[in-house]
Amino acid sequence: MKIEVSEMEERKGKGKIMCGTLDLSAHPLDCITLIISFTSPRDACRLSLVSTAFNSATESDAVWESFLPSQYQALIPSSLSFSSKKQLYLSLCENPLLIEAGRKSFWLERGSGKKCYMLSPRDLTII
Amino acid sequence: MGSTSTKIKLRTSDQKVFEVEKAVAVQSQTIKYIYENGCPDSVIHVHSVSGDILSKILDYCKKHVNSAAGKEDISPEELYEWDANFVKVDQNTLFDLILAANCLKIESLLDLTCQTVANMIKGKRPEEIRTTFNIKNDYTIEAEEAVRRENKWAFDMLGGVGTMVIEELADDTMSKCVTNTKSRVCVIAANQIVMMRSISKLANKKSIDVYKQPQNPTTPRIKESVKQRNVGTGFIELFFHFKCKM
Repeated sequence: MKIEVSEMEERKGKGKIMCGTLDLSAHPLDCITLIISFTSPRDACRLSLVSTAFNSATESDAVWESFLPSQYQALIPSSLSFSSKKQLYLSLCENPLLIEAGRKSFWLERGSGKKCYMLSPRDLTII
Repeated sequence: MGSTSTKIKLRTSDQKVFEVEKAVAVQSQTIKYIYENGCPDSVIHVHSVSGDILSKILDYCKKHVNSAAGKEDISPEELYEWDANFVKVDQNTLFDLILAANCLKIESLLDLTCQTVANMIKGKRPEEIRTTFNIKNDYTIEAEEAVRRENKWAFDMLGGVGTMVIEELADDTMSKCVTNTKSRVCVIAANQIVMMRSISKLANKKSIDVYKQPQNPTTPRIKESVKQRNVGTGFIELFFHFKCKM
């Protein structure tokens, strides 16, 4: 009885094997997304200039979701909505949020996605 | 059906057959699923992977299984180095490995290979990325300008007052940045500002050797040299070479 890996491939919607360079049409989107998510937000934006195909890959929500901090949903006020995860990311960089009842202000450093906090005086203790 | 010396047979796209230990083969979630849900004695066909690539992948799996099981005396640093050498292959092989690792669902190998490609992309300008991967630029001039404007911040390496952060200033550090001549460069190492230069002053010199003596004796003494070259459209590329003594 032969068992074939190819059935699983079809189910995953995998593209065909192609030797050679970073040909987006030959690589499954999740591979491209993974590669881009290992770079940085700054690199992802630069990548969008490489070719139009790369632009679509780098604009994808999957890529920007990986740059957002974990549990980011808890941080965003529910009144705000964004057209894409990239817009959400940029908003978190440009508009600091007040968290923890106004004791801390939080934003992301745009190039790397690192979390930045500013503490209010109420949060500091004098020893 | 659970003994560690059980062998699994794998047949590749070019009809090569590999017989491997079960513990090695099931590093692939795909093979594991098929093995556990089918007849254990049959040959598993790995249609999308060639013999050469599968051979390399099995080397990887074997190394990692043996090191995890303690069968091989190898430290985490040595394993890390082994992995680094494993991915020193030509681009075709690297992408074949990515596709195979994705298809066979070997997460650590997929991460390793994708990270390798990511490292080839990081910090590069679009033209450099196109050259590295032989990609054709299919933008019209207007479209390219529009995308560049939209992502302007990613290209202003240093923006107004630039900050180039060197986090680990070991001896003989090389760093590169692209900036415009209106910026300043401020190098911060270990939370201390060790160098601040105006680019316009640097731009007139081919290379500079500056030795900075810090006030605090515990901060590193930096000797830095800067080489610069014009990369067009008002940007210059700076190579910082730090020699650091603690």
